[in-house]
Amino acid sequence: MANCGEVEVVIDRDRCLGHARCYALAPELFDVDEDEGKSLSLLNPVPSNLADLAREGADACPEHAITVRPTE
Amino acid sequence: MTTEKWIVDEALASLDDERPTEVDKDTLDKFVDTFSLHDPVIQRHRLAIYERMRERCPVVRSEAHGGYYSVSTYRDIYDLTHRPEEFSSFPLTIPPLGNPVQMIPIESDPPAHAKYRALVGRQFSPKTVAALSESVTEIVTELLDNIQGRTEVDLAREVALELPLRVILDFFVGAPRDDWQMLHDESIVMLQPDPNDPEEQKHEKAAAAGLRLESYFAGLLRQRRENGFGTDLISDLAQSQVDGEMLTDDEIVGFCLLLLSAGYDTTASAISRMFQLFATDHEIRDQVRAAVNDSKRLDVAVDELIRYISPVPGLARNVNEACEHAGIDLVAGDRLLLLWPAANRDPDEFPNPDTFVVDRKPNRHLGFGSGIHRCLGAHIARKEMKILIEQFFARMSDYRLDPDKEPLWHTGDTWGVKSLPVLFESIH
Repeated sequence: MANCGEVEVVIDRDRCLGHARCYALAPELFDVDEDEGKSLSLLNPVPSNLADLAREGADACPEHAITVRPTE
Repeated sequence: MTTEKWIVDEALASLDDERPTEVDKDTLDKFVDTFSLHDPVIQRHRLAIYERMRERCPVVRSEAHGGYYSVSTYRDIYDLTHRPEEFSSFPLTIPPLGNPVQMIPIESDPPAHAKYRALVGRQFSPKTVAALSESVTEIVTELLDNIQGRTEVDLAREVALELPLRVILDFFVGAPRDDWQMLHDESIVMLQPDPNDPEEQKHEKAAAAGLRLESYFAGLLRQRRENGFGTDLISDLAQSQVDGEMLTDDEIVGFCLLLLSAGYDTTASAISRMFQLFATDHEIRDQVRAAVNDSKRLDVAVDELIRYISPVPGLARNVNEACEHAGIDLVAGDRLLLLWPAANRDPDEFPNPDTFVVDRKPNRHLGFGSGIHRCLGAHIARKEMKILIEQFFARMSDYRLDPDKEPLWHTGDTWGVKSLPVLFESIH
C-alpha cells in the first residue's frame, strides 16, 4: 500500500477553456500552457499529502474539466 | 413619473444589505413581467424577484425593452452559455448599446471568438497579474493615504471607483496621468447614469460620453502609430493580425471601451457594494476581516463576496435558429437575459444561498459569467479586491453609513454604488 491516498489528475483539454482557476489555487500542481492557454498537470500521480489540494483545484474548475481519482 | 420611483428607492437604499426584501407575490409578479435592468425599484427588490422567477421557472418573459426571456436558474444559465453556436452574444445587452461593430471578444461568436480572445488572453493571465501585485499595492496605498485621517469619506468615489480605473488606465491602456481625471468623469457618465435623470436623457448622456471616449482612444491609437508602440494593450492590438488581417481601428477602439465597461465599472461596483455590505452586515465584515491573515482563506472569501454581490445583473444571448429550450419554443431573434446573480442564489447549486459562507467550497459561482466569454479580467479583479481588503483592514478603523447622506446606487448593465458617504469612527 505504498501509494495509499495517492491520486491521479486528469484534465479534459476539450472542456478546459483556460480560466486558470486550478493554477491560481494550486500552482504546485497545475500550470497553464502558453500556446493555447489550457491547463496542464505538473505532478502525476499526486502524493497523498497534496491530494486535497488537487481536489480543490478540480472543484474550482468552472468547466468541470478536471477529474481526481485514486491511482490503481 | 421618475421622481416618485426615486423617492421610494432613496428611502430603501441605505437598507440594502444584499438580502432578499419582503414583497407580496402579486407585486413580485408585476416586477417579473416588466423586469428591466434600468429600474431602481426592481434593483432594490432584485433578490426577492429572482426567487419568484425561479419558482415560476423554467423561463419567464418580460415585456420591457421590446420583450425578452429572463433566465434565473444556475442550470439553465450554465447550459445556455455552453451553447455559443446556437445562442449569439451580439448584441450583449438589453436594450442594445447600439454599437454597429461587435465589441471583441465579448460579442464575438465561434469560430472567430477564439482568435480574438487569444489576442488579449496573455495580458490577463494569472502570471501577468501576479507580476502586477506590487503596482496594485502602490495604488491602494495611495488611495488609502488620501482618506486616512478624515472622518467623512465617500468610499465609492474615493476608493471603489478609483482603484479599477487606475489599474486599467495605467497597466492596460497606458493613458497619461494628466488624462485620468477626464477619463474618470467621462466613464462615470457613460457607465453610471444618474438615477435622477429621465430614461431618455440617461441614454443620450451615456452615448455622448461614449463618443468622446471613442475619439480619445482613436487619438491615442494614432499617437502610438506615429510615436512608437509601447507594452500596452492598444499597441499590442494595433500590431496584431487575425487570419492575416490587421484589426480595424473600430475594433481596437471598441476593445478600449469594453475595457472600461467590463473591467472598470464591474470591479468598481463589486467594491462599492462590498463597502456598503460591511457597513450593513457586521457579521460578514468580521468574517472577511478574520480571513485576511491567511492568503488562501482570503482568496476563498473574495470569491464568496463576488458570488454574494455579483455586480453584473445580466447579459443577453440571442437565438440564432428556432429551437427549444426548457420547454419553450424559441425563434430566431428571440432574446434571453441571463441573470448571473439569480443563478448565484440558486439553492440547487449553493446550499443556503442567502447566507454568506466565508469558506464556501466548492463555489462555482457565475459572478464572472460562464463558458467561452467568462470574464477575462477575473484574475486582476480578484487581485484588486484582495489587496484592498488586506490593506483596508490593516489600516482603517470601522465606519458607518452617513445618516445624513444616502448611498446612491446606479442601475444599468452593472449595479453598484456611485456614492457611499461614510463616517469613520475614529481618526486612524
